[in-house]
Amino acid sequence: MFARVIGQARAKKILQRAVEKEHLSHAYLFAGPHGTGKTTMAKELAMVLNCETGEGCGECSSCRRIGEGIYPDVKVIGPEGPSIKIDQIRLMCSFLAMSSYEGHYKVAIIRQAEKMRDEAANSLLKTLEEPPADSLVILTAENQYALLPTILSRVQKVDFQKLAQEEIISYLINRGLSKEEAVGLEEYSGGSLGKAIEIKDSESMRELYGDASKVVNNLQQLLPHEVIDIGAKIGKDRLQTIRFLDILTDVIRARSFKLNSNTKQDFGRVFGKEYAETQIAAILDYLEELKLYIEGYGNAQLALEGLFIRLRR
Amino acid sequence: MARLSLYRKWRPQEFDDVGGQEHIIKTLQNAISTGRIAHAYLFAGPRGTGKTTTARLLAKALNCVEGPTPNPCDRCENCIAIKEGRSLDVFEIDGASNRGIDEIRELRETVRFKATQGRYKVYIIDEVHMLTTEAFNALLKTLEEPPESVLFIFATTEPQKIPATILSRCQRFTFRRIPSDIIVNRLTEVSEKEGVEVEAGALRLIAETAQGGMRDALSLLDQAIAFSEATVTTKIVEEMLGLTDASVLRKLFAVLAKRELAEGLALIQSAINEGKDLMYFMESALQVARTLLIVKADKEAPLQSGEILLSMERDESLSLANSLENRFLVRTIEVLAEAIQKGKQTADPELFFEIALVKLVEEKVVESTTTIDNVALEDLNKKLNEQKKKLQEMEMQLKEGALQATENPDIATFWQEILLQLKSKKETLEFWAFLNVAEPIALQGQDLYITFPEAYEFHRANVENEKNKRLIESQLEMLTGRTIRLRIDENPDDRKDPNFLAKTQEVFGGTIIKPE
Repeated sequence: MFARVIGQARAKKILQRAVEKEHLSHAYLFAGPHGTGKTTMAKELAMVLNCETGEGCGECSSCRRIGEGIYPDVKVIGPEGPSIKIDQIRLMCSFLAMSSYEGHYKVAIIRQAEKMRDEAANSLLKTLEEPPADSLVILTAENQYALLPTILSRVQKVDFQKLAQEEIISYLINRGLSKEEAVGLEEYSGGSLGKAIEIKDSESMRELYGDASKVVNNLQQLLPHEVIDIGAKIGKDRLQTIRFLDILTDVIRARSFKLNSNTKQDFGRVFGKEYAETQIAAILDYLEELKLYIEGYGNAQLALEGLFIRLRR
Repeated sequence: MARLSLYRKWRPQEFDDVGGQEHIIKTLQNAISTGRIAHAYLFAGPRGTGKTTTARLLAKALNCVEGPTPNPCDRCENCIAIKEGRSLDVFEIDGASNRGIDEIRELRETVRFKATQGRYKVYIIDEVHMLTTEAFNALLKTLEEPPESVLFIFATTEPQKIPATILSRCQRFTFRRIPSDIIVNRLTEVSEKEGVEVEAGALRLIAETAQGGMRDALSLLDQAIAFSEATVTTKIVEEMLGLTDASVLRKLFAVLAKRELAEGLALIQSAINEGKDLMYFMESALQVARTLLIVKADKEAPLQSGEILLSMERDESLSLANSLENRFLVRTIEVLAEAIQKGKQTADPELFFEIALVKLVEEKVVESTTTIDNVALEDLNKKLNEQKKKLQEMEMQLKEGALQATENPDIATFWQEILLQLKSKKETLEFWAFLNVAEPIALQGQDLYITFPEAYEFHRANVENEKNKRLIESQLEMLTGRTIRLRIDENPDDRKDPNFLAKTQEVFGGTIIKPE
């Protein structure tokens, strides 16, 4: 069961026992960082409930169709634009209200549930409390604290954790990366398998990763115009900038706070400079502030340039 | 696999089973038995406190075959229909999905018809705070004077979002958070009926975590039953919720006392690996810091939450408290509170816990300064006074010395300097204009002798004017730091005529007793 989810032993245990004891709740919240397998797990659970063997084999017709997203009794919704809208939730509720096509479980998966607008979240409450028989609602969220207390009180929460270094590294090696590449990449993933795969597969993420490692490793050696160029290139896109800052945060933490890290250098050796512990903490605080500033529609390019100047001093 | 979750299965079907809201249940039952039922109720209160449940019970009580009765039978056709949500007279409407004016208009249409089976038509609008303003307003007339035998019950967690015009037409009942003890009792009852063995400690833990919500509590119990092999133990609940146990908290505070960064980071890392909830970890650490402060201040204080978390006796917690300075404990609370808040904002508690730890470890260990030596303090005071006296003496000497030293200065340069300074400031520029044309003659002690040429009569008159003169003198005093009196067109020698005595004698006669 749940063989295709990497790590997350505790979550697997909770769900597996619930399935085996036929003690499944009608609503779950999978909460945890980005790229840790929440949606994968939700789909796996849907497979288990609808599988012809009852194991979630991944081979039978039901499992395959769920995997491809064409199974009529499993529906996945997520933000359309910046948020999940009330009409999406209404549609989902009426989907659950109808009896199932294939005669098994109906599963509705709401990704990034914290992106539900207030009206949407409230319109979910009644269904979430007393859904039709043989139906299951799974919410996934990165920030459970952004959900309404009335939502939280109706679901069973399952926590998802960041993955261990070895788990990510061995996954990457299995996917054809060399050991060095995998170790290097893991450092920039911050324990998120999703992010590691993104960096591996997506062109734009690869480029971002290259820029980040340039900044992290030789910021002091770069010429001023090179630094400005990096800022200008990334700063054009708000989302890219936030991702870039995320990568910086992760790599600083990997190098300074993760003591058993394979890539651990002397404490605080980042940006080609030695930093004291408090300085590292201040930089991390500053990075978080910048993210909030950019999310609040601040000037991304300006923020990056300010950051680089501060770090080069 | 149709299985109802515990909070649905054990939703109270009698008024007596609704826990922690006696004030409301009692009032409603009395209203039913005396026949004084209002036509609109508003049930407000936090999640999981029994609003929807009470609304359904009220509907049952009114429509029960034996009713209206304060104790519905739960057996008759009407009661069962309401329980199963298929009664034709009880409409349970989701206010959040049917929130527009059109839905409310539709509802108003149906209000006019009489009840089919029971006595009352009951409209339960849940999550009523999500209705739009137009929808609320469309409801006002109906709500004020509904047809006979129609009852509206509104349930909401956010009464502040409801217009005042609606509020004033309803009887309002505020549901309270349910105390832990009542939750524990209910959980015990449910687990007995379910035939599941649950440890008392586990129930208490669940009740505390539920924070006053019965649904939260039952949901957690449900999850714990699903998670455990046979008996639900405290340990299993701790593991399921990712709660930090006493030993980890003790380790954290030992690390803080030693200011060991590496150990602290390792502690966080292992907590993560074991699947602990870092937010809960930080919150408990904050509770512990607060408890240590309290215990330090008052050894007789009643048992504190932090001590329960640490599972420590008073002696132990006191000795731990004494290993940490007050200032540091206060700082710990501040830093952790900030980390918790930021962790909630960005959903990355790990990062902020690490930052908090770095900040705390950097705090210097301060040598104890609790006993200040009183003798030493007096000594210091004495020395300070001596120094003060010396300083005063020196000041006096300086003044006298200055007077003597300037007995015969270079009057021309002195005058130039004064003029320059007068000119440089806006407020004294006027005086400069007057004095510019004057010529200095001599400076003797405090007296500065100057003279004006014939042609500058106007200037002289201005300077001689008492008021101006005083102003100029005070300005000069500020500039030079000493008292100066202006003597205009006086001969300094007049006042120090060496032959003064002889001349006097010549005029008045007499004897000189003491020449000097």
